[in-house]
Amino acid sequence: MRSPQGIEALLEQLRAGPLTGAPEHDPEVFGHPSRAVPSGWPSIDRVTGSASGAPGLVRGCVHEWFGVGGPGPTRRDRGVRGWSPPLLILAHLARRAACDAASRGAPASVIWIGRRVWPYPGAIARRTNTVESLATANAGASTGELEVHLEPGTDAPPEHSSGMTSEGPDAHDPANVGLIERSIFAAPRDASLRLWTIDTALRCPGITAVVADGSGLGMAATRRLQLAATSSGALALLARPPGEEREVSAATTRWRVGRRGGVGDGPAWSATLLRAKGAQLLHRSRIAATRSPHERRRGAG
Amino acid sequence: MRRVLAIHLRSLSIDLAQRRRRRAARRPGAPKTSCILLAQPSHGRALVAARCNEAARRGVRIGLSLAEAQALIDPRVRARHGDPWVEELSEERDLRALHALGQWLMARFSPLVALDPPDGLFVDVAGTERLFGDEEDLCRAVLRAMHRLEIGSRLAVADTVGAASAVARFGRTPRQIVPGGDEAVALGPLPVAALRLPEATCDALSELGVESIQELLRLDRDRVAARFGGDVAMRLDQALGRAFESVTPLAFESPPQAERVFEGPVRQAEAIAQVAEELVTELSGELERARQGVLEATLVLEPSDLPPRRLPLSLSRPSADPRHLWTMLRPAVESVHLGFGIERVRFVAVRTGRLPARQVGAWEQPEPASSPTSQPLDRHVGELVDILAARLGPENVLAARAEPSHLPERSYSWIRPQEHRSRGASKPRHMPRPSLLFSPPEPATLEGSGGPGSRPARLRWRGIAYRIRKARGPERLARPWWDDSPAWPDGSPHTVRDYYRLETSCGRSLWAFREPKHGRTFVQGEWT
Repeated sequence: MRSPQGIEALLEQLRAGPLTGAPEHDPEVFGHPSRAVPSGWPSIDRVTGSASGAPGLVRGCVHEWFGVGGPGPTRRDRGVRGWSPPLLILAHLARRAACDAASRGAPASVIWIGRRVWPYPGAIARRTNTVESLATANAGASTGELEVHLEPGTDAPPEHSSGMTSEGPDAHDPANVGLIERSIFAAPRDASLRLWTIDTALRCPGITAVVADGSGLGMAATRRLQLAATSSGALALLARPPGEEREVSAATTRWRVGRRGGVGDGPAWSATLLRAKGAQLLHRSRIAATRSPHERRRGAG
Repeated sequence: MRRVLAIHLRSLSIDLAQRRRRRAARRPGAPKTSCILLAQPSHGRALVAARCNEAARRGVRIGLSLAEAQALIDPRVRARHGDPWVEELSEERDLRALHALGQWLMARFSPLVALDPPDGLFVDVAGTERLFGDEEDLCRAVLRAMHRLEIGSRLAVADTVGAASAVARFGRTPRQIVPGGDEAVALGPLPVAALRLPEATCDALSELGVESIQELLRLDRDRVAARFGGDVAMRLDQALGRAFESVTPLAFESPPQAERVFEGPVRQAEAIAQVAEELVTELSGELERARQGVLEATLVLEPSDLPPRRLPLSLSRPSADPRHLWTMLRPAVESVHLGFGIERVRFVAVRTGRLPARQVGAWEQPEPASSPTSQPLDRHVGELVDILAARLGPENVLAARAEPSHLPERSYSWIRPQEHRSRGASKPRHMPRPSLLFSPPEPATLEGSGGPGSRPARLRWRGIAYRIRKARGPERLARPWWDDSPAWPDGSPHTVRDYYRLETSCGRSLWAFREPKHGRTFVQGEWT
């Protein structure tokens, strides 16, 4: 039972400051002066920049990426069982986040939670970026569809090679460390342990990005993760099966990833922004352009 | 029956200095150093007391004055590799290191270890060799461990202390085993100095033309004793096993622990948890005052009717924070079966490490990672790893390390995050690798390829037929011939695989290989 003095003090606090859902961070302490991680893909940065003010994916928020379904006779096969998470896109974003944090001298560890999202280390060890070669942002159309063409295995062009991506001569630059040296891999046994692991990792101040298997998470779970992410300022990236696109969630942005074959010289994907939560407040007019008709019908949560 | 393993540390002072130099070089902005010189003051000037091989190659001799030795290092070498690393030779520091090495050997190889200062150790290995296979395997394990510690050593096993020490110092090979009873044969060709005689006696013997032990054995025993004192005969007897030689074994330093004994069996879980927490707080306070932190610890609960329950705890980096330790121990303590009641609780710090010097406080600004080559775990990340490992199991919280192998399954290994990440850091190859690797590879059939050189057209995999739009490759990987292992990690005996990057008409990108020997196809990875 709280003493009357304690309640008084609490009331004082409440009167003094505005009632915000999450405490605003002191950038001096947490080292996140820029709150967004630029994705390095111009069209995605443009769309997210117009939505939230900062180009890129905002730190301290949950971003959901719907993977690609597998082939199969039933809908369940396509949607939930045989799906594959968009690992190269997530690895690219985690690398950008680690690079961004390391260049500021902040701790830059990345944790991968759930065996399904553990990438083959050889794929994330090479210091390459996925490159956007073909971007069509149809601002006028009902969906803001961006096509991101990935070229795995080639070195990044110079304009993308900042910090971690370049094999520069300065080996003592803290930003110049591969993603693989900064990665920790965790494999929880079941879904409830997985939720606990993501939550714990998000609250750790040393983690800059969490990449997690987000299948089967409901509204309450994503809300909890959103709060955990806000408390430390980590970038939370959840890979979800394509069959769960209709589930409600507290994520800030939701992206649908599809395969785009035959565009260029390697595997290619398209990323569609299904929802951008912050956009509602800042650029109400743009929201129509960044939301699918399906989301508009439901009314965004 | 006694079997003595003598370890001769050829260049202990230099090896220790080398370790210090490496540690200093890891700090950012540290100047480069070319070689190592250890100096000793003598009559107002510094003389070189030990030097590394690099310095020896440049002509630095022991006994040279430090200024002369410095001048021998070519200015061009200095410009490229830096000035020499100069330290004062400290016998006390080396002795401390030898003592620590003895304690470590005691925990690992045999309970009986004696020091032979300044540069030797004796280990009584009678009976313990069976834990490693045989004496050969034991020696190999010791050598490997010393190699990991970057300390050069030579070993010998014999029945007597004298023989083992002589063979370790003067034997032809760095590892030699003298079978029981063969001491005279093994010692014969060695110089007289191997008998640990004073220098004056050795000189006098060599003036008489007695160089090897063989020749000494041929002389009349009584006359030798009359002329050179009983020392020579005694050392000879000790080496040949005719006289017993005693050595003073090192006392084992028991790990720090805290303990509570109850008056009678206690069954209240809350009381046990409270006492355990008190013990953790007590011991971590004690350790912190000594600037030490727990790396491995065990909480031992001793019930009255059951064997003791041991709750192990292992950390990724030394910690003396009772809150952090208790966070990890509590779930285990709360779920332990108490039986008829606990009578005694002990908390033992099995392994400790030095705490990094820093200001203590909660969530202070974390220091930027100091060096990219040896990525130290950030403190918060270390704690996170501990917490996750305590709940998910240590085998489920891992990090990846690059291995020097070009086989896709073997080029990375999963390790505990607290282990060293980069081992010689093999440069990543610039061939594309998929983001998912199927292990073992999944069989598939490739159709429509007319001849051996033609491009594949159709692929049947997991029961579904794909049309192949593009195939890039082949990238030929071969199992290394110098490797003893008979097959690929998945058991295929064939040597060569041709890897293709396939793009199907539905947009999937697969990594498949064909074994040219019989034309079978497997899918091993996918870009997702």
